[in-house]
Amino acid sequence: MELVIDRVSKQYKNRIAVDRISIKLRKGVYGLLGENGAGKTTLMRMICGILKPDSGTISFDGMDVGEEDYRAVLGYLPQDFGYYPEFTGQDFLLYMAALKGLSKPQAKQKAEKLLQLVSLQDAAAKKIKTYSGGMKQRLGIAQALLGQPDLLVLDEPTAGLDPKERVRFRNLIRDLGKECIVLLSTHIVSDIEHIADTVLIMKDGQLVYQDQWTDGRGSLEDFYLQHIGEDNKQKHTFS
Amino acid sequence: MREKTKKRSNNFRILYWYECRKILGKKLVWFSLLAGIAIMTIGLLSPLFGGYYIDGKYMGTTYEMYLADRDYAKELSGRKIDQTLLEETMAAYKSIPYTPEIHYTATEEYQKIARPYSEIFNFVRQTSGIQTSELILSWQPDEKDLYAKRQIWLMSLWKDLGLSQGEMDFWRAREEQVETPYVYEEHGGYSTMFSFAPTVGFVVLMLTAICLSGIFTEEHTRKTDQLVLCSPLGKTTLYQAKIAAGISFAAFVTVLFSALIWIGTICLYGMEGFQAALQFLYAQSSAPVTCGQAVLITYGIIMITAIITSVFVMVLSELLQNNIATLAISSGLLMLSMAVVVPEQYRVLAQIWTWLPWSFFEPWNVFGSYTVSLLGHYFTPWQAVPVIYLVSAAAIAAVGKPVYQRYQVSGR
Repeated sequence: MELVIDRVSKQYKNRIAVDRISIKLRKGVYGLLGENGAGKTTLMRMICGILKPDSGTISFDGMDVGEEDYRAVLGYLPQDFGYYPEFTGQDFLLYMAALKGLSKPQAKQKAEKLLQLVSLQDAAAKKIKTYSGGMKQRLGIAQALLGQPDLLVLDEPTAGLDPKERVRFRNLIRDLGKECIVLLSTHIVSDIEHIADTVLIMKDGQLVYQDQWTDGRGSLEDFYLQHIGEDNKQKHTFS
Repeated sequence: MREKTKKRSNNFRILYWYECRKILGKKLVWFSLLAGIAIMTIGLLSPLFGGYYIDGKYMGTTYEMYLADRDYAKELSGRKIDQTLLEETMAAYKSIPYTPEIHYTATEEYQKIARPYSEIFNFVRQTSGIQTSELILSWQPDEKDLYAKRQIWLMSLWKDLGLSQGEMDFWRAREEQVETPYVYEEHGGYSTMFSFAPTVGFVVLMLTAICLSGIFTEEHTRKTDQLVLCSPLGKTTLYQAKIAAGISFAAFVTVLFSALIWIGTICLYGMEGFQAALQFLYAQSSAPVTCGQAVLITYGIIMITAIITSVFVMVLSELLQNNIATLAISSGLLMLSMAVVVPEQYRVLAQIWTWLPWSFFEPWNVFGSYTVSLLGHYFTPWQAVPVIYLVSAAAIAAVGKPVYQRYQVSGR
């Protein structure tokens, strides 16, 4: 399995959000780091087919991002996703399963398993409007995993989770990376340090760093801050 | 992966069900439905409490007056409006001392002698175009003259409407199909259902606009569009399911309010008179249909009007990305149809205006005289307009599909 992003760009009015990014992703966990406004979410939205690039192409195993088959291998957790307040947690998963093309029995079985996985089995029959922020986030993770995706795009997946849950999901994501491509974006550098096979750093719409990260290389946080800091320092010097 | 593609279910029915749940899960929908039910119920029951006055004198409730007239009407049911009945009617009416100062219905002669024939008298007056004063003072009952006067009156109406010679010939042929002399049937129930049709149509279209203007936009405002649009069935099947759910809701609202009016009317006014000619309800029409058929056609038209309106509202909301603007435009058009009347001399414009969904559900438009000519055949409004609406609804839905599919999630 291979996700190919080829010279993808996106511009909003006079600001370039994503600037000619090219990368090939294969099985494993990819941690995407970058400041706010670096273009991470825009890139992820383009990978998920909900935002069209101005130029460039995105494909998965030869399937274009616009195809229904492409969407069938995709699991996506947006940074700030919505829900239907009148639906219960179980309803929401069954609805998302229907959207992903799962049959009714498959959907029911999968929803039960996932509710258990994200520790929401006791709240499954409660309306989502009664859920806490962390519970909603866990439900979001569960829906992304429906349909056994080959490409999992997670935008800030551990936001709002308590430390114990965060560690659990970190491990879960690491396990998922053995079976599929996981692209995750987060501000919590330690999450990426623990689970990402490859680190990607974005700045001003460009991919400024892309390499594997091993324990022997020291602290990723220091490296990241240094990377961003150097650029900031340069910026200050020029301005 | 290809195996996954093969195994994917269509899930239209499941998604349709969820979309219906989303619509019915909104408090706004239930409040709107309750408001609609309240409007209908008050309208239906108001004759029970409203007073009937002649020259300031209280005669009883409107409903009591109706019941008295219904008893008279029932006695006339089944009789042909021929020379004999016309003579009886006019003899009774000529006994009224006619003076311009006192309304003839306030006289004792009217109440005792003429009132039992009021249904026939009104029919003669409405179907021939003869003025009330002329009828009472100078008209000599003559069956042939009555039907001849009707032909002259209709011809003058058709000319005023700007009908072509072909259209006039078409309607004349339809007029010949209507059996004369007319056979009178008491038809109070159908008359009430007919007169309620504009209210039902207005409330149904208004509720459709209120309840469906958020069906697409709420996915964007709630930010669920990100999940929906990146799912395999989110761009095609879900669009169809949403449109189908919206149409079903509009149909449900039509059935609900129609049933409310029909059941209430049958309880209060009975259901005799299905076979009575439409001309007893709408004298200007030459359509060879019965009162019962006319009511069914009119409410069927409201259903189709609601369907096209639902599709229009849903697609407009996706185009504008704003449910308030959608609601403002939809309700504005509805209000405009009530406020604006296009003069008959602008034939094409007048025809288009009266055939637009927000005007057409009124019975006088459904059974109006404008036609559509196709390959030498003329089609009446109730034949042509539903087909135009259904084709237009399909076209509007087709236009909205790429707009929905190409939606870009940006900003936020």
